[in-house]
Amino acid sequence: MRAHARILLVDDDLVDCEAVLRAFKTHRVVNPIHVAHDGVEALHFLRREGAFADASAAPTPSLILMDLEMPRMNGLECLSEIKGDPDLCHIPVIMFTSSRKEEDVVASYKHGAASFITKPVTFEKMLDTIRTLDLYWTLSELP
Amino acid sequence: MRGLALGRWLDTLSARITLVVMGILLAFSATLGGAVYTVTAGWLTSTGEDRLEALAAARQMAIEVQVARYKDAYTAFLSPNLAGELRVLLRTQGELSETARAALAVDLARNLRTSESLESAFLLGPEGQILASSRAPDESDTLGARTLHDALLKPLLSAPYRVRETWYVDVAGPIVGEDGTVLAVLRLRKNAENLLAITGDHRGLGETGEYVLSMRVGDQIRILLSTRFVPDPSLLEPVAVTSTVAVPMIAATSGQSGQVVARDYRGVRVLASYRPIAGTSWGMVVKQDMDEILADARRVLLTLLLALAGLQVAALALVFPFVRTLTQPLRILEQATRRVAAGDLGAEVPDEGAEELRALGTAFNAMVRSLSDARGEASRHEEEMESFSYAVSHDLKAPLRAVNSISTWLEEDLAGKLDPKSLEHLRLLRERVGTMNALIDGLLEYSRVGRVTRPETRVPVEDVVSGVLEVLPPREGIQVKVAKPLPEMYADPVRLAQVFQNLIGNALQHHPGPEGTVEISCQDREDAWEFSIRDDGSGIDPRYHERVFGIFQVIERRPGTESTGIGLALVKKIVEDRGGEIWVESAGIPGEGTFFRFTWHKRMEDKS
Repeated sequence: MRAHARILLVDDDLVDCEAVLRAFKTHRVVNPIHVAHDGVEALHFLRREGAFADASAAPTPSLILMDLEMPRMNGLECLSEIKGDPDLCHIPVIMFTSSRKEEDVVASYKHGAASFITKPVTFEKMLDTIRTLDLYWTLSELP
Repeated sequence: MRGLALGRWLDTLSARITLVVMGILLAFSATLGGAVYTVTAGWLTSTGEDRLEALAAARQMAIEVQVARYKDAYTAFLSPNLAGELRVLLRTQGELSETARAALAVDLARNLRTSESLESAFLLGPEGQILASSRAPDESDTLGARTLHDALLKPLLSAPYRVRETWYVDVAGPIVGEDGTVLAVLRLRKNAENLLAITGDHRGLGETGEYVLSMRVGDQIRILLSTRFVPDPSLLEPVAVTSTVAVPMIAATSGQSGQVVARDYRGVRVLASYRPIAGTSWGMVVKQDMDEILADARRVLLTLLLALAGLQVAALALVFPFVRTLTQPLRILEQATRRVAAGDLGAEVPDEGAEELRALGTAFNAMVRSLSDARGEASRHEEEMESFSYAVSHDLKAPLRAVNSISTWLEEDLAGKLDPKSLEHLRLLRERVGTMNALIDGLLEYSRVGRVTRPETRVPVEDVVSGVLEVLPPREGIQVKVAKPLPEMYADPVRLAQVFQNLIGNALQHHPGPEGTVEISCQDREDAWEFSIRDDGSGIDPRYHERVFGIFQVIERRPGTESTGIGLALVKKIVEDRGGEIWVESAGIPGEGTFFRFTWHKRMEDKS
């Protein structure tokens, strides 16, 4: 039995994080989810720096779900860092945003986002996106 | 159709300028032509006067010389011995014998040869009988009684007369005896062709000039000799002395001399010099038609007018391009104005043409630029307002969503641990969150009225109403009546639907009874449609009639309804934004219900 694919959720809004976690839980998705609250923390986690120097504490995720608007380092900056890093660029990134502005959508795709979900994030929206991206295997549900 | 086109053309700038230029040129031509004609005609007339005067003087003298010669011929004929011989014969014999007659005839014939151009000589008795003659008499030799009577008194000259194509004059006079009695009358016929030679010389008289020799006989004037245009004057009617034509002839035969422009015996206007002939009762007229005298003036005038017409054409050829330089910029400006009117604020006119037109063009361009700037400003404001509205809705709604989620999680996480009261509180919490959400939506919608516009289309109101009734089905017992037909009119379909949705929804929601009726009807008010939504519910107290349209005004909060107090404010704003009115009619008595009425202005296309 292979290990469940890991998911990294990057969002500063605790309620939104909770909503995603609950959605996964409600739908019995058992993948381990790590939450980072901004871009800087996400990059530390991915590169095993600072608090995440221990490799076992920061396993590489198979999917990143990232909010666009965050303090310190926003979603677009973080996305371009990830896509510019040869070790990380293979990880698919799905962007969340409450923005309906077209330029945000365009900028996200330009920086290498795999897909784009407008908030409020519902499990159905996530599932649709994941299916479209052919990443269905990343979600492991309880038997 | 053509008249209309002409009328339109006459109304144009080019027509006006062209007509003014043409008018000035025409006036100029008329003035110049008139002046030139007057000067030329005056000069020609004065030249003609001098010429005719000179001719008249010369010919008068020549004719008078001829007349004197005729009289001399008579004296010469009579003088040598004829008179004496005749006297002797008549005294001795009383009656002339045949021998005496023959001898007299021989004498007459001999004397005839002494004088030039004498055709014949006759001796006549006091009774007119022929005593002797140089040749055998014929019928033309008879002397009229009056002539005879005159000739018995003094020598006289007859009027010229024609016998067998030759003109003659007679010189006749008495032969007086020693005792003073008249013995006989001598009558000489003399060839008068030399008179004709004088009056038949038309040199210096152009094509229409002639000499006319005339004589007064009683109250009439006769033309004596052939003239240039009257070979046989005896065929002409004599002219009465009182006639208004032949004025020069009448004056000449009255012994006057002078010059006049008048009508001649033909009734043609002529310039005439007239003279009496001394020693006769004749008058002579030299005349020439004024038409001919002024012909050169007319030729000059015609030439001048042709030249001026050429000038007119040339002026037109110059005026048209000139007028175009005026009208072309105006047309361009007109088209540009139309483009601006149609919303194209990029319209500009070229900076060319006359100074005033350039100034107009520059001012127009400046106006368009400032319009364009203002529109840019307005659309920037619009964009700012839009992004502000978006931010408001987004930022206000996000926390609401969080509150909603958290309350749900609480309920999920504490399932079974919460008492019914807490559960009810959580439900109320979420209900208020829903109200807040609806308020934000309503507020946004309210702010968009008049700011976010869509093009109006022709909307069948029946379709709008039935669409609304599908979304808001009336509850059991409430009947909705639509008084068909409802009109078709220009409207933004979304806004119109909002109006009906709120008004119908209001009527349905606030109806208290288990049973009731809501009626929708429309009346044509010429310039507008007046719609009416009537219910038979509890009515609205007149105190509240104004307040019902205020934003966030909820007059009666009914349990189970999500009344935000924005609906009627939104309706009022939509109706008034379009120039209409909305009002309530209700006495506030339950059962009598409420009328909500509003007007919707027709567009020009709706009226026809």
